[in-house]
This record gives sequence, C-alpha cells and structure tokens, in this order.
Amino acid sequence: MTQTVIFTPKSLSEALEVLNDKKPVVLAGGTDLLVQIKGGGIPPPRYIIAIDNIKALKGIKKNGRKVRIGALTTFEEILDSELLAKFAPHLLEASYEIGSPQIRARGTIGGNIMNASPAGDSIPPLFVLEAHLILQSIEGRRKVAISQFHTGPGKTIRRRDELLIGIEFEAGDKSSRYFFMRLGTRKALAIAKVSAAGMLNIKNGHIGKARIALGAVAPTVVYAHGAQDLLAGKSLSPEVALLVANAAQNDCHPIDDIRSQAEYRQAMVGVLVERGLMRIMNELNGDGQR
Amino acid sequence: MIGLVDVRVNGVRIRRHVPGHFTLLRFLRESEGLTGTKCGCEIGECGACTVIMDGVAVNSCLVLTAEIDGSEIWTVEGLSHGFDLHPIQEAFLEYDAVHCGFCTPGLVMAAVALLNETPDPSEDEIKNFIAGNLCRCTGYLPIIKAIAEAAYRLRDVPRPLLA
Repeated sequence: MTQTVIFTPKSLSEALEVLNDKKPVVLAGGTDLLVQIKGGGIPPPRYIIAIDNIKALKGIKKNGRKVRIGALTTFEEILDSELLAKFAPHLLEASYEIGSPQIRARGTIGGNIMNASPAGDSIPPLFVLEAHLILQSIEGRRKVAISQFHTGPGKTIRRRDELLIGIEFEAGDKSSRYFFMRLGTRKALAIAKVSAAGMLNIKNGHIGKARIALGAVAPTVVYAHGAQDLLAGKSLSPEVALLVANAAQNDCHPIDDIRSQAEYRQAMVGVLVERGLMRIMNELNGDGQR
Repeated sequence: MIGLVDVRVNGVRIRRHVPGHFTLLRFLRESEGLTGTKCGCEIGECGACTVIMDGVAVNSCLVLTAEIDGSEIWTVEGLSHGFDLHPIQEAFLEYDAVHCGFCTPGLVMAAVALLNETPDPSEDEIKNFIAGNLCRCTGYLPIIKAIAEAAYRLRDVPRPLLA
C-alpha cells in the first residue's frame, strides 16, 4: 500500500469529482476492505477514497412513508435508531450480529452492501423490505432495487464513477411482521453460514404479502420465491411453517466452502425459516391479534 | 503518500507527517512509540489493538492514518498517572484478570468504552461488549469480574472516564 494515494473528502460533491477522475476503491468503514487488502484478496489499490467523514451521508430519516438510511450510517448507529427499531426491527437484529462492538463502531451499512458478500448480514433484511439503493455520480442519480444490484460474490452493477449514498424503503404498518435469523460458528465475529430474513403482512390472521430472503446459500442473497408463494393467503400454523421451510430449502443453491457444507446449509435454511415463522406466530398469539 | 495528521493522543496534541496508508495501530506503535497497544491479528478479529477514538472503541488495525485527522485518541498509556493505576487496571490486577498480558490493554480499553456508555453493566452486557476481544490464557471469568468490580468503584465518577 506504500504507493496508494488516499483521498479523504469532506463533502459529497468533492467525493463525486474524485470518483469520476480517478475511479478509486471506496473505503466506507474499512472493516472489510483493509482486511481484504492485507490478506492479498485484492491488490493494493492505486487510489483509495475514504468517505467516512462525509457527514451528509450519515443518519436515518423518515419522510412520509419513506425511510432513508444514509450509506455511511454505522451499525452502532443503526442499533441506536428508534426509527429503525420501529420500522425495520429485523435490521437491528442483523446489525447486532455483525462483527464486534469495535467493528460495529466503524462498519457502515453502505460498506456492507457494496462488499457484496452473499453472507452480508444487512442484505437479507433489506431484501424483504424491498429496499432501493440510491447511486449518485456527477452525471446524476439512479435508484436500483437491492434485489437487482448484486450479480455475484463481490460483484454489483455499480459503475466506478458512482457512489452508493443511501438506502430507501417504504415503512410497513401494524400488519407488518419481521424476522432475521442467522447461524454462525460463534455469535461474534463469525461470518454467517446461513441467514434468513422475513416480512409478512398479516391481517385478521391471513397472510397478504410475504417476503423471505436467504443469505450465504447462493452467489447473491436471494428471495425464496417458492416459500413466498406458499405463504400468500394462508394463516400461520406449525404445519404451514414446516411446509414453507421445506419449500425454502428448494429455493437456494448453497455450496461447500471453508465455513460450511452445502447439505448442512440447505438443511439449516429450513430450520431458520421455520423458527422465524414460528416466532412471528407466537408474537401474534401473545398480542392477542390472531 | 505522506500526509500531515493533527490529532490528540492521550490528551496531548500531535502534529506529524505520516504515511496515509499506515494504520492507526502502526502510527501509535511505530511513529509515537506507544507500544502498549498490541498488534495481534491485524484483521479486526482479536481486539488486542483496541483503542478509543472519539469516544468509541475501535480496532486500530482497521483505521487508516489518513482518516484520523482531527480526532481524539486514547490508548492504555493514557490511563495511569505515573504509578497510580486507573481503577480498571487495579481491578484487573486484583482479580488476576491478566495472565500473559497480551490481550490486556485491548480489554482494558474496551472496558473503558463500555463503562463510559453503561456505568452499571449487567454480566451479559459485559460479555457482549468484550465479544471482540480474545484472551487465550485466563478464560474470561476473572476479566468479567474485574470489569464488574471496576464499574462499582467508578459508579460516582463523572463521564467520560478519559477526557
């Protein structure tokens, strides 16, 4: 890294200029990037742009039904957000499982998305919210559905002059229920072997819209389409949860790697989805809303 | 690329030309001679390099010097006054929370960060907060007890603990 030139812009416009001119590698927290450079996973970059100090890209706001998370919001800030505790509680569950307090203090949600790991913990919760990513360059701005953004491990459709500046999603209502479940070797500092997130709209005991997303079991995070189709129109019961969990196993294509085996991952997808659905069912029973 | 950084380390202002690609860890150890902060895994897994940056615990191996300009850093060297140890350090000694000592500065700094935010932590809060600090000798029980005892002794001390 001795030859690396590092830019530390304070404003978004300054950052976009540098991105346009130099096409640098973006550092947004550094808890993945610096590890990858150190491990030789990526060669030392010619240019790095460290954007952590751009205050305008931090924070969480709600405008009408739209909730917007600045790309440079750290996981610690997400955990402290009352707004997200209300409208994306499963994102808080996921954030709590990321790294360690030290990592959560630096690591950002934008960095987690751009790192494009199929095991990225913040991604399945954003899938089930049907979140959109806001990409900005000096040319202009575009919005992309998060499910269209990743094309493979470490790969996205971002152009090199673009910066992810924020994440936007529509707030749910009283009928929206969420879960996030994750399996790793230990609770702290272990990358997920399998993760699953869910969002169900339940009115008068009947499921309307259902979204289930699975992590670390395909080249990108994926929706469990078969499981979602099965849920629509049903009422939650242990039998339905099991049926849907089995369907989710057929919605993924895991591989063997250093962290786990395909067969085990596929089995655990079922366990996590079933647990998530059962938790929602028990919450509803507890609320007397069933 | 050499850049000028202007930071406060343990309450002392430092202006220094350092390579921007240096990590905060290397800056502290190699440029400032503050070798109390330990270099363990250098990939954010072990917590031995934990320092406090602008009030929060960070892995100094994962922060670039180019990013620290204007910030306030505290390391283990900033805790004691001469031979007067900080109450957290005293508690670590009394509870035998130190064996080989390599993880100790990181754990002590994590404890400072925890007690700044949470003056009266539960055992679970202590365990969760030190999840990013590995100890391979003593086991964690003496460490957890030492932090709980330090919290008790510091209960009336105004926050932040380092300022």
